[in-house]
Amino acid sequence: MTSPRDIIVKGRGFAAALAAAYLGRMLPRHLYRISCFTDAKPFKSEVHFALCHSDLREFNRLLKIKEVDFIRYCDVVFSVGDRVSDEKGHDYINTYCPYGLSINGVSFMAALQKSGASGQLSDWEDCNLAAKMAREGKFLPPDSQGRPVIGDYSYGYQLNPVKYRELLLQQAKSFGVFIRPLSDLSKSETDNAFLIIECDTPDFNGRLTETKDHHMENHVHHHISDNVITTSFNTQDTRFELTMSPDELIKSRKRVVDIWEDRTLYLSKLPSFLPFLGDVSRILQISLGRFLKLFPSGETMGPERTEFNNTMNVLFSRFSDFQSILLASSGFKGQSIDTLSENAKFKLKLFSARGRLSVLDEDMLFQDHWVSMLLGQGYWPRGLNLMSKSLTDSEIQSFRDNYKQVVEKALSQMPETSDFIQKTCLSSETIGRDGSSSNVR
Amino acid sequence: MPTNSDSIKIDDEAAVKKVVIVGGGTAGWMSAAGLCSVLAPLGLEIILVESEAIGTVGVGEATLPHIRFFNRKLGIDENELMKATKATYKLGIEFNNWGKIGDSYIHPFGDFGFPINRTGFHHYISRAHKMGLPSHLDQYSVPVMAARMNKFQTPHADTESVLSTYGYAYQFDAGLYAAFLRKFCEARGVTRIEGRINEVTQNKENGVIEAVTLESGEALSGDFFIDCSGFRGLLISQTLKVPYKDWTNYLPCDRAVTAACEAVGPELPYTKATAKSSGWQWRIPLQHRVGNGYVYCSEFISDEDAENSMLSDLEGTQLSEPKRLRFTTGQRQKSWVKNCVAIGLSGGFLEPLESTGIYLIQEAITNLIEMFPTQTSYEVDREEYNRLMDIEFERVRDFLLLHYVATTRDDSPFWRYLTAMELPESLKHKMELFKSTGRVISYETGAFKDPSWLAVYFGQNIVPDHVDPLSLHMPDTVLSGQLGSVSQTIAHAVQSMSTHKDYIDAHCRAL
Repeated sequence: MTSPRDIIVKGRGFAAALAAAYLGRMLPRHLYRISCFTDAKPFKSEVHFALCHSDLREFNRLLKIKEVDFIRYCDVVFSVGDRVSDEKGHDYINTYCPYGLSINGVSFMAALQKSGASGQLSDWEDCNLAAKMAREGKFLPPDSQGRPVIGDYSYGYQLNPVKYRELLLQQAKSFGVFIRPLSDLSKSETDNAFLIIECDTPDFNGRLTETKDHHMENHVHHHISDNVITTSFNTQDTRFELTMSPDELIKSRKRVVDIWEDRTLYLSKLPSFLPFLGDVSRILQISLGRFLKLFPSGETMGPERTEFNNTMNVLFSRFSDFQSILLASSGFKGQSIDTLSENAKFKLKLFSARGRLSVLDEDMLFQDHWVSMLLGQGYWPRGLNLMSKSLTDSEIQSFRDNYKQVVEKALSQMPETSDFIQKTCLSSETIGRDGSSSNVR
Repeated sequence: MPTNSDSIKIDDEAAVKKVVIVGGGTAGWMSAAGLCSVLAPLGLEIILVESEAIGTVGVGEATLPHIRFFNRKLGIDENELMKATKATYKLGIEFNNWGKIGDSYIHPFGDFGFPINRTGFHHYISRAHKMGLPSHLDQYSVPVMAARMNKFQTPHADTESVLSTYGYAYQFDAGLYAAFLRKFCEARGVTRIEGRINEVTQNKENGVIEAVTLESGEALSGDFFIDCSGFRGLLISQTLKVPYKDWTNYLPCDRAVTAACEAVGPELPYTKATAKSSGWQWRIPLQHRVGNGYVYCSEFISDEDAENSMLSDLEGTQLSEPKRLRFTTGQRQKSWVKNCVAIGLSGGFLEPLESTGIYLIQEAITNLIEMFPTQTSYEVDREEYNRLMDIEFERVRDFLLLHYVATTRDDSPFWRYLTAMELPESLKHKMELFKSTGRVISYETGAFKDPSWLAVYFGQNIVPDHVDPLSLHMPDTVLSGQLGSVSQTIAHAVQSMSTHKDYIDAHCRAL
């Protein structure tokens, strides 16, 4: 029997813990010995990992982290989406679900066009339960039986990344990963390792303010004004504001190319801040998932590395396109339509024509994210999708009225987000305020 | 109120009100059916002009499962269609003599096994192969086992059932399918005009097609034209002069000879593709006959020798005179130019090794309907349409090419030519990655997903050098039992299925 190959996960902070837990869970211990050399980072440096897309729910399940424990331990507040607003008057919620259902086989998008609507996506929020939940501060997990409307949305998290790191390291340890301080790492260990996961991700380079506040908003809010992006979010007892100037943003969005070199995966090259839809931690998860899918079986890693780097480079550029379009249409300094990539320009042109979304390979964002962003940023199609002509105005109105009723009924039965957390999974530090707890549905 | 675009205008003046489809056949009538079911209710007038004197190639007797969705959208009753087109069901394609002479495998319309511990089943098969355990993929696929046992029934609606893990397509008479759709279209207001076109009129300023004129002198004007005129590309090539991308450097077969014969034995629920010295021969069983054809490369075999070879391999009495076809594998550089879109053979041709002819027509129609133009030019929609069709064609091309190059055959100049051929980078990388790691590169768009690639890789003896490390959680001692259990579950389920013949008799036997 051959001895296990050594994998070294190296780096301060959240990313190393995430990588250690994930690889520890997925790789067989009799074949791979995983050592995580890590130290803690201060909260401020890690704050960009605090916003997590709904994908993290599945990721936690995979890591055998119980949601109720996670919520308590990491001071989590649920997030049903991202609110985006700017000084141009855009103000909309980008949720983790389609904006509306189809009407008699005709897509919501086509119906929206037929209605002659233009200008504000928020006018259509009565067709999106999650968006209404965000506006009204209500929360319940989606219906477990997947019934229409009340089962059609998803949620992510706002969390304390320093605490989540601790939880991840506990899990990693339980999966047989050796956790050691960074100073223990010797040159010979590095030289002899089969693989190295370099995880010292860049610190958040904007400004952070925090205020003690027990009011729990169930969404993240990005406001773009005076060439500053302000991202507000909250954990169970603290409200945070991250601000970033154009220069800081440009620095944090440096182009990411070929993060797997030789036998090292450089998660450390990931961007330090990607506002909108909780995507730094999501990119980290996706990178690790792809890496595992293409995990090298031998010393020769050529085809795996090429495929990984190709797809990840494309994936990064897709996300960068999303951000660039958003920022350009909000008038953010240094971003304009002229400076968009060719793919982004084409996507915009096609959507602006008649509302068709160009689907490209390796897009980490759901189509619904794109549609919500484009409409929310004011890119309303000039022309009409022919399918929409088969709908009558009264059909659309009747659909909207029915949908609105269902949404209103669902909302009326939902508790305030803070009440839901109080009753189900208040963190251990804040539990003294109330004391009650039960499981998340 | 913020806006980055003009407000929506429903401009009926700009709507395309009249479409002229040039050419009948499968492509022409499928286009007419798609358009009339969706757009005729919105006021679109559809005219199809065809000439009985010209005839059709009748491409695509065998289909892919996607066609069911097309027919369902049209509201066509499956049993009626089966009867009218004398069709049989199809669970996959049997490939004989491809990896090496004597090999046989089926590319099924369905999965192999079930993922275990979030890991693709094929990684466990690779392990079994290395351990010397039974590792032929056949026994882990419901559609393959059903095909081998000549069984068929439509998939179970309960997704928990192993009998829900497959799809199916049809093997039908393409001429009858076109006739069926013609009836469908005419009942919904499509006008068919008999006649040959001898002139195409273009706008002198912008080159847009304005009308086609028949030999009778009748001029048919239209806002939009669909070129289904076959290889000659009357509008797209002869009028608009759009060049053709020639892919014979990758897929060198350039001719086919076809003939029908009587069936011997029961109708099989699968198509056969048997590799031969200079190409390959298809066998497609219908209810009333068996379709046969030898696709070959004229550089390596004469037309006469190919015809004799094809005829000598007929299993029953020959029913029709051999028909010879010439083609150039490739794709129109742009399928949609100005107010004309080329659908079917005028848009491109890929040999029918994986029954993609009708699939590509269907994709073209679906995309066209989604991006249906107005008279106000939508250049960007055309660009998107052409981009999507390029992706479809190129991905099918790579998949077809895989069959030719994943082989150790070197028994004829044809196979030696293929062995020495330079592959497109896209395919080369896919093959290297699979050989090294067992990973399949798959995309959101494209006809063939992971199970299809796996069927050909394993069927043609490309077994990965390494496996997904996740699959190594399962100890060797457990592996054999797990695989045996999957294989038994499948065998048991297939045993319960009805025979293909009984199913056809009960549901759709043509009178």
